[in-house]
Amino acid sequence: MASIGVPSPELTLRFHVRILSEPLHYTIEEMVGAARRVFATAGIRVELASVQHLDRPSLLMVEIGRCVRGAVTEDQERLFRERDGVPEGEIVVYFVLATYPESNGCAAHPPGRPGAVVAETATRWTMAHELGHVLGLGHVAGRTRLMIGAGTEWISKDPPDLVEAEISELRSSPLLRESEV
Amino acid sequence: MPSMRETLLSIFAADEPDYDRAVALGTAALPTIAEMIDEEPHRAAAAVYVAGQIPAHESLEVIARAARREHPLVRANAAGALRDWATHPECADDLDAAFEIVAPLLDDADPSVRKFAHRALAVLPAHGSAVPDSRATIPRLRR
Repeated sequence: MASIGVPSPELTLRFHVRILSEPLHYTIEEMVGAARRVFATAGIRVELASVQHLDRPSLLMVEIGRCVRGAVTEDQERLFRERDGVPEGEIVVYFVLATYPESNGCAAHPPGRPGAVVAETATRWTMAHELGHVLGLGHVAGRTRLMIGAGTEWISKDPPDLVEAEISELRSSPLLRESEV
Repeated sequence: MPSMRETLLSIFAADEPDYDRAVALGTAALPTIAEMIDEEPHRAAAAVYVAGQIPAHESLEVIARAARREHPLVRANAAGALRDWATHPECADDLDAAFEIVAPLLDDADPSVRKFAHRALAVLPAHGSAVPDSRATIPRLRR
């Protein structure tokens, strides 16, 4: 269970942000900072490649169904087509007003369009948690863990832990690439 | 043993709530869910979703109350919940009442409310003619 030293070589997670609605409790910059801190413990550099605002009133509230991998709704299909300027294989995080049903976020995405939605109720760690799902992680128990299933609002450690098995899973994701020296 | 309220709040606290656990509480949860409809909008939104998954007449009363909330997030969730509720075969006898709830939401000022209201209307196909006022209502909304 113990964390290991920072693995090498350093890998890069490059992602994009599309803002339909600003989060309520934390700024996107705070969430990006939180993601940088936690993924740094896995030897992963988080690079925010682009930020754009989208004016899509009909997608402010996104139906997410059961939010399970591989199953997406019409809303998710439409939202995840919004990838202007995003190279293939890079992740997009969409900040929306809310989901139906209510959640802080959901990482289910159409094939070939990796990404997640994050709702206005997101905690400091929600975006990193959803990125963890996109990269293949599942839920765990424990208030020191990023992937806590009971809610990231309970996270009591900054940065929260990624254990060795999670780090291995993350680092094997095809969505990461080796950092340029 | 946690109270019904504590159980529901712990489910809703997750980033991705396990709503199946809430729905499994069944009609016994509806009085607590009804209370939550008048609370903070995101909590009310989660509560009305659960009501929509429980095929009971009492759920429809909860949804109707949520549909009258001032906050558009709650109304949008009420419309979504109504759509879900109306698809339960057990609820087939109450679809007229369901239409009466959704009709005012079809031309709501909020785009999310309108979107989910139209999705609800789509599962009430017979009600464009079954309810007298609907013929006047729907064309106005589509203008």
